[in-house]
Amino acid sequence: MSAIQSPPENPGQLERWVDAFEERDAVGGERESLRELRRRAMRAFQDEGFPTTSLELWRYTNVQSIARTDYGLTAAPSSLSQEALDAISPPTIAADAHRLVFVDGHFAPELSSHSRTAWFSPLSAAIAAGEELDLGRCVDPEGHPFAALNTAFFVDGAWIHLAADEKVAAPIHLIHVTTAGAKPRAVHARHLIQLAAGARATLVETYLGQGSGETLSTAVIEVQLEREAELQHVKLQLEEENAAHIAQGAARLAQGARFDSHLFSLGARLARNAFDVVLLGEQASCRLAGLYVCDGSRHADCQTYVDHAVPHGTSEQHYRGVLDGQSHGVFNGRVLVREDAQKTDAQQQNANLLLSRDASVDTKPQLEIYADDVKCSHGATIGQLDPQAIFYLRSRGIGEHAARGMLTRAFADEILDEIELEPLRRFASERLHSKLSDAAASQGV
Amino acid sequence: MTLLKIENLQVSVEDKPILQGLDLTVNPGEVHALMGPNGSGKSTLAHTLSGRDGYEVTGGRVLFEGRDLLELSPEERAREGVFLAFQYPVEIPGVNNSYFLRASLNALRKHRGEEELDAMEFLTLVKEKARSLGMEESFLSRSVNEGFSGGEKKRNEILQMAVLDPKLAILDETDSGLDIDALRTVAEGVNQLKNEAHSVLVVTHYQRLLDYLVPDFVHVISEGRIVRSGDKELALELEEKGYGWLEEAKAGA
Repeated sequence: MSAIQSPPENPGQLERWVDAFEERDAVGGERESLRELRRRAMRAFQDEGFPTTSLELWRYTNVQSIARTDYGLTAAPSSLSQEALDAISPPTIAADAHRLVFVDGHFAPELSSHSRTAWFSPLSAAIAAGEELDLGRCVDPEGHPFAALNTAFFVDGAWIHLAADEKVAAPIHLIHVTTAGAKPRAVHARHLIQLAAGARATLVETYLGQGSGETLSTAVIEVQLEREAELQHVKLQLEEENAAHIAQGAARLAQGARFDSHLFSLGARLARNAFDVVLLGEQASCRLAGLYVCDGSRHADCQTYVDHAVPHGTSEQHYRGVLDGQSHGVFNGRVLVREDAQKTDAQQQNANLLLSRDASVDTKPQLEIYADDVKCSHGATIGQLDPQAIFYLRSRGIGEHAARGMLTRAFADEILDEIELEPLRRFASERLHSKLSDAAASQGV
Repeated sequence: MTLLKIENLQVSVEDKPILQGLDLTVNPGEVHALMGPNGSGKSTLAHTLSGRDGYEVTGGRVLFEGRDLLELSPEERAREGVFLAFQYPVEIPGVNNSYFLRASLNALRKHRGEEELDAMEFLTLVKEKARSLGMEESFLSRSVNEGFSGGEKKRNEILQMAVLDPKLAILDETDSGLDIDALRTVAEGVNQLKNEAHSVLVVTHYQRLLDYLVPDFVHVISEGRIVRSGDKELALELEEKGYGWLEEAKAGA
């Protein structure tokens, strides 16, 4: 990691955001509780500023380029035609998927294919209707500077709320497009997912960019799972080269709830995907899996935090990184097993494949255990493609380039293969394999 | 036309000369056994022919169908019809055996200007090959060699050989550590190739495999050179007398 000292905080960097916030706040039109949450978030951001690498959680991810950028904070969202969306959007997961499209952080009903349902509302509509929304419970703006910005500035997102035992069979697909323009654009995606007892759903988030200008997307997803609720979650993060993507997700799981998440961090120059899970009820379980694929000078940071607050919880984490060029990967996984959380089963694994001399990775799996009757393990590996395996494939007529590709795909597919739903696995597989072949092509082997 | 012609081949490993002027000629349809004590250079020859890194050719030449084999990359050698059955086949987690073998066969077919086989066509072919070698189909759906027993790995090499149908197959100590059933599989694979007028070079320490496949020629290698050649009777003589006579012959010379 480079030892570049962060420049002293320039107050002007924060002022832009404060001014924009005050302008927005003056307009009003929101419930007082939400306005108060936003103000609290803005105060937290003002106090903390943009994180620097002197903070442990941001040690390996330098966001000074974001802090310095003068984003057009009051710019109106672009409009996107169906054709333009089709040109950048991955094929649909399933014919019956509920597609909910957001352009520059605003819901775009004309691009969305959802039938009217009781369980979905754009956040903007819910806010306008004066709904009391349980925002900020899972993700505290304090201590999360980008989540604070998101809280202060978001205008829209998806509010998905399933009633007890309600099951939505078709995947719910949230598609976010950030359009780049002449001036750098910052957009904020915000989702609130609430599944009542016994409810079940599959949720896919896809983040895309259009155009090559600079953009910043912050994304915050809050997930509340009541007793025995189950959510399958896949996130595909696929923005363009000049994009930054900073996301904070969090889930709270009641007794017997199940949260299963697969992240594919494949795009953006600077990407950070953090997810926190709190197991609040016994027999709750979660799986956090992720794959980061980086080439060129891309930087991808994955952060996890699982809090076992009660006994009999299960958590599995499996993250893998494929790093080429001069790219940099970060995995920082934390598991906390509290004193009461006896019989916890927590596994954590991180494996990294370095494809070039100049690629690097920082990995830090951490277990913090205060209970004495638990089953916990963790481990991290960093390696290269096995030259013996490459030779073996070549000795069977497979070219060196293809052999490297085959072995790299095999490494990455371990994460893909964990997705249980076939259409979802196929959908993610297409994006992943096209990214991997792009990366391989740029090696010029 | 001669398939393989090795002339005065000299190879060093980590600056240590191993092959010191080896000559060998293999014609189409012939089965040659190369025998010799440990350290005589048997495996070095096999590795050099397959194009493995770390084997430095310091002299001599190898012609395959009249072309300089040593100029070719490992994959080009395979595409031209050279196959090495590894002494220690490599485990490749996550790569499906059938997928791998189809990619391999298609690389060879493409090189020969033939249509590539689709998944169904390939499956028909590979199942038939597996059956003819008395192997279970479950092999095909596993990761390449991952968790295979020693015998299963060697059988998998022979299955690959049968599917790729090389002009020259080199078996590097394929018989070591095999039970009788696996030995029969190996022999069956070799005999099928021979029937198609393809050639086989069996590198082995023991005569045991030669009970199941009959070589046309047996060569004894010592200190990087072939010191004696004969027919299958020579293998039996070696079995009886061991390799000790090589030392005596040298002392007497």
